[in-house]
Amino acid sequence: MAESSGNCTAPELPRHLIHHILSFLSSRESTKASILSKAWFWAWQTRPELEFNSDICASKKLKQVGGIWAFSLSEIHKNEIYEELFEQIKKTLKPYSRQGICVDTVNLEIGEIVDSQWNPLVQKCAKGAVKNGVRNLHFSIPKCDLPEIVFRAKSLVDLSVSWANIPRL
Amino acid sequence: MASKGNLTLKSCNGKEFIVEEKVAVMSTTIKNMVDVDDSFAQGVIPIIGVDGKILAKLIEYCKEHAEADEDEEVKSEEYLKKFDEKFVDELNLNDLYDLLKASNYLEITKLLNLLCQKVASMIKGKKPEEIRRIFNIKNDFTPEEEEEINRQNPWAF
Repeated sequence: MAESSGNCTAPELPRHLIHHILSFLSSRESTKASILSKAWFWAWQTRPELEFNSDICASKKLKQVGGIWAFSLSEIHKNEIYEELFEQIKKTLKPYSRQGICVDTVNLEIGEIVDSQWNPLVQKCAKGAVKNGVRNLHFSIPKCDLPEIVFRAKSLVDLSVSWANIPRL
Repeated sequence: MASKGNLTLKSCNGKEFIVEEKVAVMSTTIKNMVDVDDSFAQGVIPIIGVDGKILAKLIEYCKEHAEADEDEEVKSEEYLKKFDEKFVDELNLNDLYDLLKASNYLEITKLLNLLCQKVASMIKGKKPEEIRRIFNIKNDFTPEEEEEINRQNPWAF
Protein backbone atom coordinates (compact mmCIF):
# COMPACT_ATOMS: atom_id res chain seq x y z
CA MET A 1 0.00 0.00 0.00
CA ALA A 2 1.15 3.55 -0.65
CA GLU A 3 2.28 5.61 2.30
CA SER A 4 -0.30 7.73 4.05
CA SER A 5 0.06 11.32 2.94
CA GLY A 6 1.36 12.65 6.25
CA ASN A 7 -2.14 12.94 7.61
CA CYS A 8 -2.42 12.99 11.38
CA THR A 9 -6.17 12.44 11.70
CA ALA A 10 -6.98 8.81 12.42
CA PRO A 11 -9.76 7.74 10.06
CA GLU A 12 -12.22 5.32 11.53
CA LEU A 13 -14.22 2.56 9.98
CA PRO A 14 -17.88 2.05 10.79
CA ARG A 15 -18.51 -1.07 12.81
CA HIS A 16 -20.39 -2.95 10.10
CA LEU A 17 -17.40 -2.59 7.78
CA ILE A 18 -15.06 -3.97 10.44
CA HIS A 19 -17.54 -6.82 10.66
CA HIS A 20 -17.23 -7.46 6.95
CA ILE A 21 -13.43 -7.35 7.15
CA LEU A 22 -13.48 -9.95 9.94
CA SER A 23 -15.34 -12.31 7.61
CA PHE A 24 -12.17 -12.51 5.50
CA LEU A 25 -10.05 -13.58 8.47
CA SER A 26 -9.64 -16.99 10.05
CA SER A 27 -11.14 -17.55 13.46
CA ARG A 28 -7.73 -17.12 15.06
CA GLU A 29 -6.81 -13.99 13.12
CA SER A 30 -10.15 -12.33 13.82
CA THR A 31 -9.80 -13.08 17.53
CA LYS A 32 -6.37 -11.49 17.38
CA ALA A 33 -7.90 -8.42 15.73
CA SER A 34 -10.43 -8.09 18.56
CA ILE A 35 -7.72 -6.62 20.74
CA LEU A 36 -7.01 -3.70 18.41
CA SER A 37 -9.61 -1.35 19.89
CA LYS A 38 -13.10 -1.29 21.37
CA ALA A 39 -14.68 -0.85 17.94
CA TRP A 40 -12.93 -3.98 16.68
CA PHE A 41 -13.83 -5.86 19.84
CA TRP A 42 -17.52 -4.96 19.50
CA ALA A 43 -17.56 -6.03 15.87
CA TRP A 44 -15.74 -9.24 16.74
CA GLN A 45 -18.31 -10.13 19.39
CA THR A 46 -20.82 -10.68 16.61
CA ARG A 47 -18.35 -11.90 13.98
CA PRO A 48 -19.90 -13.83 11.09
CA GLU A 49 -18.02 -17.08 11.63
CA LEU A 50 -17.83 -19.02 14.86
CA GLU A 51 -15.64 -21.94 15.66
CA PHE A 52 -16.05 -24.24 18.62
CA ASN A 53 -13.28 -26.75 18.64
CA SER A 54 -12.52 -29.19 21.41
CA ASP A 55 -9.03 -29.78 20.03
CA ILE A 56 -8.12 -26.16 20.68
CA CYS A 57 -9.36 -26.50 24.28
CA ALA A 58 -7.52 -29.82 24.57
CA SER A 59 -4.21 -28.42 23.37
CA LYS A 60 -4.65 -25.56 25.82
CA LYS A 61 -5.20 -28.09 28.56
CA LEU A 62 -2.21 -30.17 27.44
CA LYS A 63 -0.04 -27.09 27.66
CA GLN A 64 -1.21 -26.58 31.24
CA VAL A 65 -0.69 -30.17 32.34
CA GLY A 66 2.35 -30.85 30.17
CA GLY A 67 1.23 -33.69 27.88
CA ILE A 68 1.39 -34.28 24.14
CA TRP A 69 -1.60 -36.38 23.10
CA ALA A 70 -5.23 -35.52 23.73
CA PHE A 71 -6.15 -39.15 24.46
CA SER A 72 -3.75 -39.18 27.38
CA LEU A 73 -5.83 -36.57 29.20
CA SER A 74 -7.53 -37.81 32.34
CA GLU A 75 -11.30 -37.81 32.85
CA ILE A 76 -10.96 -34.79 35.12
CA HIS A 77 -9.24 -32.82 32.38
CA LYS A 78 -11.80 -33.92 29.81
CA ASN A 79 -14.54 -32.71 32.12
CA GLU A 80 -12.78 -29.39 32.45
CA ILE A 81 -12.51 -29.06 28.67
CA TYR A 82 -16.17 -29.91 28.38
CA GLU A 83 -17.13 -27.24 30.87
CA GLU A 84 -14.89 -24.64 29.29
CA LEU A 85 -16.34 -25.29 25.86
CA PHE A 86 -19.86 -25.21 27.24
CA GLU A 87 -19.16 -21.89 28.90
CA GLN A 88 -17.53 -20.56 25.72
CA ILE A 89 -20.54 -21.46 23.57
CA LYS A 90 -22.94 -19.84 26.01
CA LYS A 91 -20.89 -16.68 26.29
CA THR A 92 -20.16 -16.40 22.58
CA LEU A 93 -23.77 -16.67 21.45
CA LYS A 94 -25.10 -14.14 23.95
CA PRO A 95 -24.19 -10.92 22.05
CA TYR A 96 -25.90 -12.24 18.91
CA SER A 97 -29.19 -12.86 20.75
CA ARG A 98 -28.93 -9.56 22.55
CA GLN A 99 -28.31 -7.53 19.41
CA GLY A 100 -30.50 -9.64 17.14
CA ILE A 101 -27.62 -10.42 14.78
CA CYS A 102 -27.52 -13.65 12.77
CA VAL A 103 -24.55 -15.98 12.88
CA ASP A 104 -23.41 -16.71 9.37
CA THR A 105 -21.32 -19.81 9.97
CA VAL A 106 -20.82 -22.15 12.89
CA ASN A 107 -18.11 -24.78 12.88
CA LEU A 108 -18.51 -27.29 15.65
CA GLU A 109 -15.67 -29.75 15.84
CA ILE A 110 -15.18 -32.15 18.69
CA GLY A 111 -12.29 -34.54 18.51
CA GLU A 112 -11.67 -38.01 19.84
CA ILE A 113 -12.13 -37.11 23.48
CA VAL A 114 -15.90 -37.18 23.10
CA ASP A 115 -18.31 -39.50 24.88
CA SER A 116 -22.05 -39.46 25.48
CA GLN A 117 -21.84 -36.89 28.26
CA TRP A 118 -21.04 -34.34 25.53
CA ASN A 119 -24.51 -34.68 24.06
CA PRO A 120 -26.10 -31.79 25.99
CA LEU A 121 -23.30 -29.52 24.82
CA VAL A 122 -23.85 -30.51 21.22
CA GLN A 123 -27.59 -29.96 21.61
CA LYS A 124 -26.99 -26.59 23.22
CA CYS A 125 -24.65 -25.44 20.46
CA ALA A 126 -27.00 -26.60 17.69
CA LYS A 127 -29.94 -24.91 19.38
CA GLY A 128 -27.99 -21.68 19.86
CA ALA A 129 -26.85 -21.67 16.24
CA VAL A 130 -30.35 -22.32 14.91
CA LYS A 131 -31.92 -19.74 17.21
CA ASN A 132 -29.46 -17.16 15.93
CA GLY A 133 -30.30 -17.81 12.29
CA VAL A 134 -27.22 -19.77 11.25
CA ARG A 135 -26.77 -20.06 7.48
CA ASN A 136 -23.87 -22.48 7.30
CA LEU A 137 -23.33 -25.24 9.80
CA HIS A 138 -20.38 -27.53 9.86
CA PHE A 139 -20.82 -30.38 12.25
CA SER A 140 -17.96 -32.75 12.91
CA ILE A 141 -18.41 -34.96 15.95
CA PRO A 142 -17.60 -38.65 15.91
CA LYS A 143 -20.45 -41.00 16.79
CA CYS A 144 -22.74 -38.18 17.85
CA ASP A 145 -26.32 -37.83 16.61
CA LEU A 146 -26.99 -34.75 14.56
CA PRO A 147 -29.49 -32.79 16.69
CA GLU A 148 -32.99 -32.80 15.23
CA ILE A 149 -33.38 -29.07 15.65
CA VAL A 150 -30.99 -28.67 12.70
CA PHE A 151 -33.67 -30.07 10.39
CA ARG A 152 -36.09 -27.41 11.49
CA ALA A 153 -33.69 -24.52 10.88
CA LYS A 154 -35.32 -22.23 8.33
CA SER A 155 -32.23 -20.08 7.92
CA LEU A 156 -29.90 -22.95 7.04
CA VAL A 157 -28.42 -22.83 3.54
CA ASP A 158 -25.51 -25.18 3.85
CA LEU A 159 -25.03 -28.11 6.19
CA SER A 160 -22.00 -30.33 6.25
CA VAL A 161 -21.73 -33.30 8.55
CA SER A 162 -18.72 -35.47 9.11
CA TRP A 163 -18.20 -38.41 11.44
CA ALA A 164 -21.62 -37.89 13.05
CA ASN A 165 -24.76 -40.02 12.78
CA ILE A 166 -27.67 -38.66 10.83
CA PRO A 167 -30.84 -39.85 12.59
CA ARG A 168 -33.79 -41.30 10.70
CA LEU A 169 -36.64 -38.86 10.83
CA MET B 1 -26.81 16.70 -19.77
CA ALA B 2 -25.49 13.29 -20.65
CA SER B 3 -26.41 11.75 -23.99
CA LYS B 4 -28.48 8.57 -24.23
CA GLY B 5 -26.86 5.56 -22.60
CA ASN B 6 -24.79 7.82 -20.38
CA LEU B 7 -25.40 9.06 -16.87
CA THR B 8 -24.07 12.11 -15.08
CA LEU B 9 -22.76 11.56 -11.55
CA LYS B 10 -22.06 14.53 -9.33
CA SER B 11 -19.71 14.30 -6.36
CA CYS B 12 -20.39 16.05 -3.07
CA ASN B 13 -17.87 18.75 -3.98
CA GLY B 14 -19.60 19.49 -7.27
CA LYS B 15 -17.47 17.53 -9.76
CA GLU B 16 -19.46 15.99 -12.57
CA PHE B 17 -18.60 12.79 -14.38
CA ILE B 18 -20.33 11.50 -17.47
CA VAL B 19 -20.21 7.73 -17.48
CA GLU B 20 -21.77 4.94 -19.50
CA GLU B 21 -24.88 3.53 -17.86
CA LYS B 22 -23.43 0.00 -17.75
CA VAL B 23 -20.52 1.39 -15.71
CA ALA B 24 -22.69 3.38 -13.31
CA VAL B 25 -25.11 0.54 -12.63
CA MET B 26 -22.30 -1.62 -11.25
CA SER B 27 -23.47 0.27 -8.18
CA THR B 28 -26.70 -1.30 -6.97
CA THR B 29 -27.64 1.98 -5.29
CA ILE B 30 -27.40 3.89 -8.58
CA LYS B 31 -29.14 1.08 -10.45
CA ASN B 32 -32.08 1.28 -8.05
CA MET B 33 -32.25 5.06 -8.39
CA VAL B 34 -32.31 4.87 -12.18
CA ASP B 35 -34.81 2.00 -12.21
CA VAL B 36 -37.23 3.72 -9.88
CA ASP B 37 -37.02 7.28 -11.12
CA ASP B 38 -36.48 8.03 -14.78
CA SER B 39 -35.51 11.64 -14.09
CA PHE B 40 -32.21 10.42 -12.67
CA ALA B 41 -31.40 8.76 -15.97
CA GLN B 42 -31.80 12.09 -17.76
CA GLY B 43 -30.54 14.50 -15.15
CA VAL B 44 -27.70 14.55 -12.68
CA ILE B 45 -27.31 11.88 -10.00
CA PRO B 46 -25.93 13.35 -6.79
CA ILE B 47 -23.50 11.02 -5.02
CA ILE B 48 -23.85 12.16 -1.44
CA GLY B 49 -20.81 12.05 0.80
CA VAL B 50 -18.36 10.99 -1.92
CA ASP B 51 -15.86 13.57 -3.19
CA GLY B 52 -14.53 13.92 -6.72
CA LYS B 53 -11.27 12.13 -6.09
CA ILE B 54 -12.95 9.04 -4.65
CA LEU B 55 -15.72 9.07 -7.24
CA ALA B 56 -13.08 9.11 -10.00
CA LYS B 57 -11.46 6.02 -8.42
CA LEU B 58 -14.82 4.27 -8.19
CA ILE B 59 -15.54 5.00 -11.83
CA GLU B 60 -12.09 3.76 -12.85
CA TYR B 61 -12.78 0.46 -11.09
CA CYS B 62 -16.33 0.06 -12.40
CA LYS B 63 -15.27 0.87 -15.95
CA GLU B 64 -12.71 -1.93 -16.05
CA HIS B 65 -15.11 -4.44 -14.55
CA ALA B 66 -18.10 -3.45 -16.65
CA GLU B 67 -16.01 -3.80 -19.80
CA ALA B 68 -14.70 -7.16 -18.65
CA ASP B 69 -18.22 -8.39 -17.94
CA GLU B 70 -19.18 -7.45 -21.47
CA ASP B 71 -16.23 -8.90 -23.30
CA GLU B 72 -14.08 -11.47 -21.57
CA GLU B 73 -11.66 -11.68 -24.46
CA VAL B 74 -10.58 -8.07 -24.31
CA LYS B 75 -10.22 -8.07 -20.54
CA SER B 76 -9.41 -11.53 -19.27
CA GLU B 77 -9.68 -12.75 -15.72
CA GLU B 78 -5.94 -12.57 -15.48
CA TYR B 79 -5.96 -8.94 -16.60
CA LEU B 80 -8.67 -8.04 -14.05
CA LYS B 81 -6.78 -9.74 -11.24
CA LYS B 82 -3.71 -7.67 -12.03
CA PHE B 83 -5.81 -4.53 -12.32
CA ASP B 84 -7.42 -5.22 -8.91
CA GLU B 85 -4.06 -5.81 -7.25
CA LYS B 86 -2.59 -2.62 -8.63
CA PHE B 87 -5.75 -0.71 -7.78
CA VAL B 88 -5.64 -1.57 -4.08
CA ASP B 89 -1.85 -1.39 -3.77
CA GLU B 90 -1.77 2.22 -4.85
CA LEU B 91 -4.22 3.43 -2.21
CA ASN B 92 -3.14 5.31 0.87
CA LEU B 93 -4.97 4.70 4.12
CA ASN B 94 -7.40 7.60 3.82
CA ASP B 95 -8.37 6.66 0.28
CA LEU B 96 -8.73 3.01 1.28
CA TYR B 97 -11.14 3.96 4.07
CA ASP B 98 -13.05 6.44 1.93
CA LEU B 99 -13.40 3.88 -0.85
CA LEU B 100 -14.58 1.27 1.63
CA LYS B 101 -17.30 3.56 2.89
CA ALA B 102 -18.26 4.73 -0.60
CA SER B 103 -18.41 1.23 -2.09
CA ASN B 104 -20.54 0.19 0.86
CA TYR B 105 -22.94 3.11 0.44
CA LEU B 106 -23.11 2.66 -3.33
CA GLU B 107 -23.34 -1.13 -2.98
CA ILE B 108 -20.52 -2.03 -5.32
CA THR B 109 -20.18 -5.47 -3.81
CA LYS B 110 -17.20 -6.70 -5.83
CA LEU B 111 -15.16 -3.66 -4.89
CA LEU B 112 -16.28 -3.75 -1.26
CA ASN B 113 -15.13 -7.35 -1.00
CA LEU B 114 -11.85 -6.56 -2.72
CA LEU B 115 -11.13 -3.73 -0.27
CA CYS B 116 -12.12 -5.74 2.80
CA GLN B 117 -9.94 -8.57 1.60
CA LYS B 118 -7.08 -6.10 1.21
CA VAL B 119 -7.48 -4.89 4.80
CA ALA B 120 -7.70 -8.51 5.99
CA SER B 121 -4.49 -9.41 4.13
CA MET B 122 -2.74 -6.47 5.79
CA ILE B 123 -3.82 -7.75 9.21
CA LYS B 124 -2.83 -11.38 8.73
CA GLY B 125 0.26 -12.53 10.54
CA LYS B 126 0.96 -9.20 12.22
CA LYS B 127 1.13 -8.28 15.88
CA PRO B 128 -1.64 -6.01 17.25
CA GLU B 129 0.83 -3.17 17.80
CA GLU B 130 1.94 -3.34 14.19
CA ILE B 131 -1.65 -3.43 12.89
CA ARG B 132 -2.58 -0.41 15.01
CA ARG B 133 0.35 1.52 13.58
CA ILE B 134 -0.52 0.67 9.97
CA PHE B 135 -4.18 1.56 10.34
CA ASN B 136 -3.81 4.40 12.80
CA ILE B 137 -6.02 2.60 15.32
CA LYS B 138 -6.02 4.04 18.80
CA ASN B 139 -5.90 1.41 21.54
CA ASP B 140 -8.74 2.59 23.78
CA PHE B 141 -8.64 -0.35 26.18
CA THR B 142 -7.40 0.04 29.71
CA PRO B 143 -4.50 -2.34 30.52
CA GLU B 144 -6.96 -4.35 32.68
CA GLU B 145 -9.43 -4.72 29.83
CA GLU B 146 -6.68 -5.76 27.45
CA GLU B 147 -5.45 -8.35 29.90
CA GLU B 148 -8.98 -9.70 30.32
CA ILE B 149 -9.38 -10.22 26.55
CA ASN B 150 -5.97 -11.88 26.37
CA ARG B 151 -6.96 -14.15 29.22
CA GLN B 152 -10.22 -15.19 27.58
CA ASN B 153 -8.66 -16.29 24.32
CA PRO B 154 -5.06 -17.16 25.10
CA TRP B 155 -4.86 -19.58 22.16
CA ALA B 156 -5.16 -16.72 19.66
CA PHE B 157 -2.38 -14.53 20.96
